[in-house]
Amino acid sequence: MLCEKCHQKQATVHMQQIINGQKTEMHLCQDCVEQTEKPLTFDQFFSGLLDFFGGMPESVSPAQNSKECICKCPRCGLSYEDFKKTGRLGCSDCYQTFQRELESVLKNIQGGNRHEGKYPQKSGVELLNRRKLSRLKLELAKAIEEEQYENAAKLRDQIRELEGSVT
Amino acid sequence: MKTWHSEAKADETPIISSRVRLARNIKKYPFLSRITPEQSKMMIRETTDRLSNHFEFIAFDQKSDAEKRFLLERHIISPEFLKITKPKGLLMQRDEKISIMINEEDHIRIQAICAGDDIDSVWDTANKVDDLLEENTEYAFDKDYGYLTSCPTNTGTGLRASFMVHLPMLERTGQFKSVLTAVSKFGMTIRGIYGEGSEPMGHIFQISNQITMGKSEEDIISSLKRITSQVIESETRFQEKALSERRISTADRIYRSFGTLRYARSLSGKEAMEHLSSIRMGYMMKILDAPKPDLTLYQIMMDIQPGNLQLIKGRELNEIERDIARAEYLRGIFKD
Ligand SMILES: [Zn+2]
Ligand SMILES: [Zn+2]
Repeated sequence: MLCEKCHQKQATVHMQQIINGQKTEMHLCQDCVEQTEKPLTFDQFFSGLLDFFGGMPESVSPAQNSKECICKCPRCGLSYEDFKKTGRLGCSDCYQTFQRELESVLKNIQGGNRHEGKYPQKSGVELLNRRKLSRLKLELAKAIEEEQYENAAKLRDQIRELEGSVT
Repeated sequence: MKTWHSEAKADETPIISSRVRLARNIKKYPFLSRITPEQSKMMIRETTDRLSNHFEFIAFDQKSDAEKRFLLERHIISPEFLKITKPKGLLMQRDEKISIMINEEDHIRIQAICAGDDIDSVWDTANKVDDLLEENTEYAFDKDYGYLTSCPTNTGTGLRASFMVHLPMLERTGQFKSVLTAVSKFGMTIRGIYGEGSEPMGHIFQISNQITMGKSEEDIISSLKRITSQVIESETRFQEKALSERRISTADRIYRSFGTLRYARSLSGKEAMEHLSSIRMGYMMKILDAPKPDLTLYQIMMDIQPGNLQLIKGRELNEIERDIARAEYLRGIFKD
């Protein structure tokens, strides 16, 4: 038996429907049955995720069109025009040279424009301490605000200790 | 040594493999777009010397086209790596679980991969290789921007975490577009493999993070896990629906695929992938009652790609010869 819909393939799915008390039969191929599935809506698909991500993700703001740097990177000679054409930077110093432009590029394509991840083991120890320090200072301010003086004292000791290693 | 794709875990669930890639650059050299061939060679030598105890060095530039293609089809290298005309180097382990591309879009691309659903362990592996490399070199790193990369889409963690997933029912039932939209809303992306740019083959996709900055590696990975499990759950739901509502026709298709692979005399890559996909689903849904081949389905899928097929056959094959060789290879696997 051929599929009633496409009339091309073997009907392998046989469905019975009762409409207005009338029994009707449908004979379809596997492909045609699958194509009748309704697409999942966004809510159906992600009902379980919205809690995890704390609601809908923010949409990305459009790129700002501020004045672009006309200079070239002193180390590798790349211009911002070059970068716009290829989307590739020329060396690590480009990040300094085009800092202002890149800040908005990063903001637009990334979740945020500050690194929150891993630090290199060797060169990163001091940077890591600095990050820890600013976090401890925040915690200290909060502890004082909430009048948790015992905790605040502990935090202050930790800050002193770290400040000694960060110059 | 057992490769990741020969492990049974690659067949058991919709998740075929878990992968992590880290992009790193060495501070003293310009990025790929500005590095000279001489500097490239020096950089490759320095990097490989450091890791020679741990990895096998592959003189990539000296490999034949079929060998390069083989490496690409096995996900040891990226399509971009093939296109780069500057000197390149490759380090890998025999089990294909770790590879390092040197002079890809970034100086160093560390990749760790494993069968099935275990992204935490591959992150751990890649992270350790990264530490090992860093012992004797200074990376391009900035306290605000993190690891500095050629392209700002990788800046920060330089991390691309991904799952390779098999989603036959989601694709067949036309769910793919809604999955794509939904996934991208959460800073992730999903795309086909093998069919580079064009239509995906064998209903195999890669789900990966798009955002590399503003979140820690652990946060990126846990978001990816969450999104992927949601996608898998939908796939499973549609599979169960097919089983309960149209068991015969679903089984019919799977057994027809089995018959085709057992007897066909000429098979295009696309057709073969379609049947292998059916069969993988058949085993996964426990609806296909036939002994499992010794190789995993995913390994068979890789073996029938042009580069792999030519290496198996030991010579260059044109398209017609490849279709015949492919059918012959598959008959050997699915024979009585
Ligand atoms: Zn039909
Ligand atoms: Zn530069």
